[in-house]
Parts: sequence; structure tokens; C-alpha cells
Amino acid sequence: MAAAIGWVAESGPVPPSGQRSNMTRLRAAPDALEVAGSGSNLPLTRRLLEAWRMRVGQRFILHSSIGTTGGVQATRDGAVHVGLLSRPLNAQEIAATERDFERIAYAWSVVVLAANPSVRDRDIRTAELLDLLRGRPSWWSDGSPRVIILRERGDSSHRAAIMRIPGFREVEREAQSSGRFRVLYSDVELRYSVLGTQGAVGFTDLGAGAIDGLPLHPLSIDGVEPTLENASAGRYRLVKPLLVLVPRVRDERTESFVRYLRSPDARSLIESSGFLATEPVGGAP
Amino acid sequence: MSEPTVTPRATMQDEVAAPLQRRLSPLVMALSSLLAVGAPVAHHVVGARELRADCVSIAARAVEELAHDAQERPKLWRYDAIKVVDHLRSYRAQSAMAALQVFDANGIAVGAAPARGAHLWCSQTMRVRGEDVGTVWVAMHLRALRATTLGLLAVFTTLAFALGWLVYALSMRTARSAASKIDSLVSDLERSRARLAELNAGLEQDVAARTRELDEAYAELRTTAARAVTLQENERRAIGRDLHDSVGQALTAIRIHAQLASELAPHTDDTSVQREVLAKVCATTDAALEELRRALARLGPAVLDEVGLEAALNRAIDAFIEQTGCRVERSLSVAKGLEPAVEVAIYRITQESLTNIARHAEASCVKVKLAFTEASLRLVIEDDGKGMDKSAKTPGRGVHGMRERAALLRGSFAVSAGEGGRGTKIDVQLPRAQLVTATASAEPS
Repeated sequence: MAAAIGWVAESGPVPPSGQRSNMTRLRAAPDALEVAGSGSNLPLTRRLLEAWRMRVGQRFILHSSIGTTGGVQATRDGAVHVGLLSRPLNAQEIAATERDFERIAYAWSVVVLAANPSVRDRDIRTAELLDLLRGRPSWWSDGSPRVIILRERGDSSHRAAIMRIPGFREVEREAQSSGRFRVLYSDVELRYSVLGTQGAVGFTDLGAGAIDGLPLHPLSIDGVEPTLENASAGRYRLVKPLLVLVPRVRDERTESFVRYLRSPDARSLIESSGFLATEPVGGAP
Repeated sequence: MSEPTVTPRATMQDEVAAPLQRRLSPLVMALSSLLAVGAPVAHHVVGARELRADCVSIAARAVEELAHDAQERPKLWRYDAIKVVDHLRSYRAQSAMAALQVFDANGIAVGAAPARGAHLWCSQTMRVRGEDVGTVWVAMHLRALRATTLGLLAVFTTLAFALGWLVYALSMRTARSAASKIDSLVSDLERSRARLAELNAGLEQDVAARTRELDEAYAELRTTAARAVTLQENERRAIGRDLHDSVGQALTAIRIHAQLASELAPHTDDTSVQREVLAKVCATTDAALEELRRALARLGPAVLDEVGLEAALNRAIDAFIEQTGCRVERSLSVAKGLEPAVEVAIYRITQESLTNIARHAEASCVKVKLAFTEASLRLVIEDDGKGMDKSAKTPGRGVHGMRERAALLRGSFAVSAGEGGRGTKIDVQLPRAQLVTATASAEPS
């Protein structure tokens, strides 16, 4: 009888066994190039779309961030024409998209540890960064406490640090689950949050910061300044690819944009926007 | 006396402890079970209710976030839902949320289904501009709740059954102890009853024996009383005969002589005949008086009251000496406080013995000895006369009377030849217990 009472207490309605479908009812806009995906891609992609629109006279719809995962799903479902990716796809995503879709890297973003204007230091050691993530007391050279603001688990910028900084993976995982740090879910939120917090730092894109004109300054890591030159030469290794996911069989509008991305004009625009137009030495994770 | 045997019977253990055990066992089991499961079940129900409330809260928060996004991006909100879910999960990291699934209006799921396991689901509908655009389902882990419930069940089961066993054991122990005491008391009671029955039987036997003894004593007493009355009657008859034989005849002779004197007086002047007749009258009168005195003495020894036993014995001996002229050796040790019946018996036996000696023995010396021993009083009267008439088949009345007097006092009376086979010896022994009064002790004076 006790088990019956317990079962009654636990029982209730359950969700339907809904399955992923090809979202056939969702269609991308027929009269515009509809683009959605990672927020890391948005600033640069907006400029590229603007330039493309100027060239070809096509309309575009650039949605706010739905993340790389959302971009993959929306593109696969046909809800958008172009998906924006800021990280390599996982095996499941590759399996779902490999046959019908193509991934095209069009830029590489330099991932920096942006600091609040109050931070006088211009460099941070890897060990100090790891200690900061472990929650150990950490101070800037002027004695003010160091604060780090995180992106959500799986963020592309964090991923770049995970792939390039030894020990960062474990420390970042523990930091994410500890609840000690503030976690934000968009680049914009993170940048403005770092801007508003004394002694704060956070991972973001170099290019995005420059475009937005925020007074955040990137820190050198172990004495290596996060410049496009250092990144291109492979001396500064925190870089992440920016990709588009497009159908292999695509309409003319989409194809036009893809051709533009490969054009010299686009590469020039990319570089002037604070991104790398070619893959850096040593590759990008 | 051996211990009385107790008949085997059903003990209190059987009559009290066993039924109690039969009734207590299921009751203790039921209560222990109730206690064991009650608290864990209550915890589980309350926990599930709290979990459901938390679930609803999370779903509502998700709906709030997603509804805003859905309003802004009616087509793509579902793709951002995953991030919203992750965002919500991070805020609920301490909760038991297992999964958050979003279904759009077409029933298409956004977000991963929870892993296998026990979950509690709840849902909230997402409405944008009055239109249902989706449903948020939240799954909560039941693992922790069930684990806690099972832990409580283990603890409460242990506590409940330990408590139940304790109650049961203490109750049974108390019941068995009480039953054992009752058994002991009942056994003692039965032994006491058996003993009482034995005592009663013994008492009845004793009562019967005492009754028989009383009957015998009563019969003896009646016999003794009858014998005393007979003795008294015999004495009275003897006294009557003596009076008739002596005093009666003497008075008759006196009358005859008086009549003769009165007849002779007018007819003669010779007074010598009258003087002779009157002298005979005087002699006869004296003899009669003497016989009368002796008879009166035999009736009642008032002399005992007047002078006491020793003096009375001495008088009797002196009278005997005066009468017979015998030499008497006397040794009288008279105790004080003797029963009057004893004094009378001693006095009478002595008197009768001396009378018989005076009449029949033709003795020249008599010994009278009265002495006390530890156990008895002994009277010995011995003469050196001619002894008892051996030809007589039955003893005379005097000897019979003396024997009766001794027997009435539970004493002994023996007649035998005297010292050297001469004369007669009378030996009377009276037991000491019969001698004294209740308030006096018999000690030689």
C-alpha cells in the first residue's frame, strides 16, 4: 500500500513522444536571405551581408543569436538559408548535416580576455587565469580583486581556450558547475557585463569588441599580445573559426552570398573588421 | 512429614503468556509496519508535492522566458529554446530538474529528452497574443527523493521493529514474570491446601483420639465417681452397722437395765441390786459413747481440718496405742499443700490399717512411715502380727476400701507379708501429680 501511495504521489501526465522532424512547415523567407546562428558571427556577418546587399541588391534577414546549435537545426530544418557557426560541429551534428549541407569557414576570430577599463594590468599568466577560475583569491597589481565572468558551457570562445590552454578544460568545467561565477548567455551581455564590473575580465572576440567600440582592452596571455598579426603567425593561439552552414543544393541567393564570402572584397572587409580572413598558422581548433 | 505432592496442571504461562503472545505478535507487527512505512510515505508524498511545485515553478519561468522570445522571433524562438533551457538549468543547478522539453504548437520537440530513469513531469502552456504557441515540459529527478525515502524507510523500519520488539519483549517478559509469580503462588497455595488437608486429617485424628481419651477419662471419672460413691456408701453402711452393732445394742442394754432398775426400786429396800444395775448402765453407756466417738471419727475426719494431717495421724496412732498397747514406730513427713482428697485418703488408709491391726493382727509392734519421693508419696504400715488370712479367697471390705482410695488417686496399693515373712505390710504410693493443689507445690514440711 505504501508503494501504491508513493506511485500515486509521483504519477502524472507525461509529455508526448515528440520527435525531431524536418520542420517542413517552417520555411525560410522566400524573398530574402535569412541568416541565423551563433552570436559570435553576428557583428562580422552583418557587415558582410550589408556589403553583399549593396553589391547584389538582395534583402537579408539576420536574426539575433540562436547559437551554433540553433543555427545548425534551423538550417537543417530549412527555417533559414544560412546557419552561422562559431565552433566545429560535434559528431551528431555532422552526421545530421554531412550529406545535405556544407560548412564553409569564412573568417577566424581572435578570442581575447577582455578587461574592464579599471584593470591597469595588460597581461595575465595562464597560471593566474587558472587560479582565478579555481576560485582562489586573485588580485591585480594594484591590489584590486580579479573577477571573471563566464559564458555558458559550450561557448565557442571558452572552447577555444579549452583547446589551447592546458588544464583549462577541467578548471572551466569545475567553475561552470561550482556556481561561483556569473554565467551569461550572449556575447553582448558578456561584454556589457565586463564593462560594468570593476576588475572584471571575460572571454570575447577581438573583432566584435572593436566593432562595437566598447572601451574594453584585451589582455596579453603569458606575454603574448592578442593581435591579428600574432594570431595569424600562430604566436597567439586562441582563435576560433567562423563558418556558415549552407545546403549543398542551394538557391541562387544563397549561392551568391557564398561566392561573396570567398571574394577578395569580403576578405578585406573581414580583416578590417578585426578578424582573420585566412586560417592562422597552426590552424584553429 | 514428607512434602505433599502437587498435581500437575496448566500453568499461567499457558493460560496468560501464550494467549498474550498470540494477540501481541500481530498487533506489534502491524504497528511496527505502520510506523515503519508511515513517515517515509509521508515524506515521499510531501516531497513529491514539493517537487511538483518546484517543477511548475521552473516550467512557468521557462514559459515566461520563451514566451518573450517567441513573441520577438515567432519562427526561430524554438531554436533558441535550447540555450534558454541551459540558461534555466544553470539557475536551477541545485534543483532536481532532469530535463526541460519544449514543444511548439505543432507538437515538435525542442530539446533533448531526459535520460532513462524515474521522473516527475509537469507542463505549462506558452501563450503569445492569446494563442498557444507551445508547451514547456519539465522533468524532475525522483532519484534523490526515492533515495531519501528508502533511507527513511530503512531507518524507520529498523527503529519501528526495534521498538516493536522492545515493546513485545518487555510485555512478554512482564507477563511471563507475572505468570511465573502466579504459578509460584498457586503452587504454594496448593501445597498449603494439601498441607492443610493433612493437618485437618491429623487434627481430626487427634480430635478423635482426644475425644476417645476424653470419653475414656469421662468413663473412668464416672467409674471412679461411682466407685467413690460406692465407697462412701460402703463406709456409711459400715458406720451404720457399727452404730447398730455397738451403740444400738448398748442403748438397748441401757434401756433394759434402766427399766429393770425402775421395776426393782418400788419392791425392795435392798439398793445393791439397783446399784449393780446402774453400774452396768454406766459401763454400757461409756462403751456406747466410745463406739459412737469412733463411728463419728470414721464419718468425717474433721480432725484434718482442725489440726492438719500430721497431727491427725499422730492422734490416730496415739488412739491406737491407747487401745492396743502396741509399740508404734512412726516416721511422718507430711508435705504442705496436699490435696484434701489425698490427706483424707492417707488418713483413712492409716486409720483402717490400724483398725485392722487392732482387730486381727495381734501385733506387738507397728511401723508407720509416710515419706515423699521425687515421683510420689509413700505410706508404709507394717506390723509384726499373725499376718493376712491366706485362706480368704477375696480381700476384706477394709482392704478393698483402701485399695479403692489409692486407685481413685491413680496410686497403687499393695498388701504383702512383713519383714521376715511375718506380719502384714501395706504399701501405698500416690503419684506426685495428684498430690498438689493448682497454686501450691508439694514440698515436705
